Amino acid sequence: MASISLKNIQKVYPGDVKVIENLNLEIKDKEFIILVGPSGCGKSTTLRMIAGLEEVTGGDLYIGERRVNDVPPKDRDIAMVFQNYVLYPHMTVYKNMAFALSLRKVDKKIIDQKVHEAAKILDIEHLLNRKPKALSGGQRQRVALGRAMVRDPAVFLLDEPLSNLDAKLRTQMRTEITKLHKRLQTTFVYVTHDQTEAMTMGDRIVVMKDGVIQQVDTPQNLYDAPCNMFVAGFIGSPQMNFVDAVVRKQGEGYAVTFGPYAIPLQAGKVENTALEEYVGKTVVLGIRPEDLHTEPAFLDASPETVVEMHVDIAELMGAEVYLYGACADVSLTVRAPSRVQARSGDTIRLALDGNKLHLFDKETEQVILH
Amino acid sequence: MLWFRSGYLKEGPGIEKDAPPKTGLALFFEILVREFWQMLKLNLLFVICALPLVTFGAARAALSRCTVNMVRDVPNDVWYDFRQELKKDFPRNTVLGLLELFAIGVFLLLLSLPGVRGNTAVCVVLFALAAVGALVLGYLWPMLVAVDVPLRAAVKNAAVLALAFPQHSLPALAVTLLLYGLSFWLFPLSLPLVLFVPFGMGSFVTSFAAWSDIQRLVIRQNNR
Repeated sequence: MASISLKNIQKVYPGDVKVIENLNLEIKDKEFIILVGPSGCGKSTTLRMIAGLEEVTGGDLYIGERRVNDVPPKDRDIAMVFQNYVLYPHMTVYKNMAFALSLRKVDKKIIDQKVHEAAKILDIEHLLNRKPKALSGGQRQRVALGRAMVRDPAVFLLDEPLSNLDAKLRTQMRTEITKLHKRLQTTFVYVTHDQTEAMTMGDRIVVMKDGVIQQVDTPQNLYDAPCNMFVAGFIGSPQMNFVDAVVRKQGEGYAVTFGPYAIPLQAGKVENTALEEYVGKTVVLGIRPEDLHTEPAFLDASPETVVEMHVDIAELMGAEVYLYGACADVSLTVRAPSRVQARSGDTIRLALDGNKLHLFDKETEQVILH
Repeated sequence: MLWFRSGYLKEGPGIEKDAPPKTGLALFFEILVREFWQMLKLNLLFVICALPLVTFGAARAALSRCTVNMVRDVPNDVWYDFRQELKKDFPRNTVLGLLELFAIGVFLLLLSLPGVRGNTAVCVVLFALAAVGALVLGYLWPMLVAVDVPLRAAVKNAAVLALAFPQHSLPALAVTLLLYGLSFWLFPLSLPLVLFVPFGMGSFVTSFAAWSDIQRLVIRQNNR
């Protein structure tokens, strides 16, 4: 069993600096869970508390059934992979990988077998007799992973392991780590500030801000149903568009208005009781860039949601184009297929996908509907 | 204490898995640079373990084991591998070692006789025999530690290889003699050099020269 329970965890540094306050999280056995958030949100601190590298000020931390608050890191059956690899520069790759086992006086033959097994999985057998200084960043990271793997830990803790790699290598290593998790069937706790990594790798994502968990859910649910503006803006690239709009009654239903536009809300999505209190009030309308459509079929199908946007910048990404512009003095970003010919200076018509609108309370930033 | 941080974190050029392997002198110097400090440790270990003389053979085998591992580019730990090989086949290696020491002793004794020193022809024969013996030993020890062949077959193979590939064995012998000569020239002033250089590096040179032939003609032949 390698589940992890964090119950009412607190971390307070000297000078009464509260980094983490009342954090509760259950991580299932064999789960690949990602802690994501901006710098300083407490994700690395949480990871280090699980590892035992930081003292838990308050609350209870369990690995499996065992409370480990006072258990030293070496006895927690965890293995950690760091952002800057932390390989011993004077040791060969083989010795780096074997070090933890040799400290435990494991038989040399078993060490040899485990190191070669891990090296084969990670495709670094040809590097075993080399020292870290000769290795590229990606190779070093594989060695760091291999060093963790040979210990057969109950939990892998990875602290932004891909941050020091270039974009191409990061993409490659993301896949490698995901495959590794499937192969090893062990609990992975992964910290990153990159929401793309979070979305592509995790079974569940924990979005953190200022030491507080904002939302814990699967990548798709986080993307489709963010619980507040922070999660909505953090997850997804380009970021979700946020528009201040006023809720109005429109016949039997509701609409949100901004500038000259009144966008009706889908009848099936609306609960009268939820929106009634917001009538006449300003809310934040959220819509993702890919839910603003330029295709004639959309424009014809929902003319009531059509708006006009003046394009300031068009970024051709290859398979798609990002259009940045203004609509009724509101900045918008549109993600359109590359066949869309709109360029800087053009005025285009966009249809908002009524099924994909999000409304947030302007003061609390919590979701009203999605 | 961040003085060495940039060097520690700086990425290396990377090692391509499918890059064509180096051969010849390029490979020799690559291994020499990579394993340089290990060779110094190895030399010291050999000196300490061979001093009792009766353990000379076991230490010689252990020395060859470590240098063959370096040449083969397998993960090696000098302390561990030396210790393991020291214990392995101890009786056989001890006998061989004592025979080698005996031969060296006889050579030096004969060389010290005025009758021999003054006779050029005898000297030439003596040195030729010594060279052949050294060449054969240069193949024998690596073969004994790394290939599973009976002793008689190993001796026969070593003799054949040493004489069949003088282009490998003679330069190796010359370099080894040069290392020994330089190290012992100003002995005891050159004691530090003796402690760290000649035996480890000499064994590496002879192992490097011998191994490709052993691998090609003994191991692959055995595997057929």
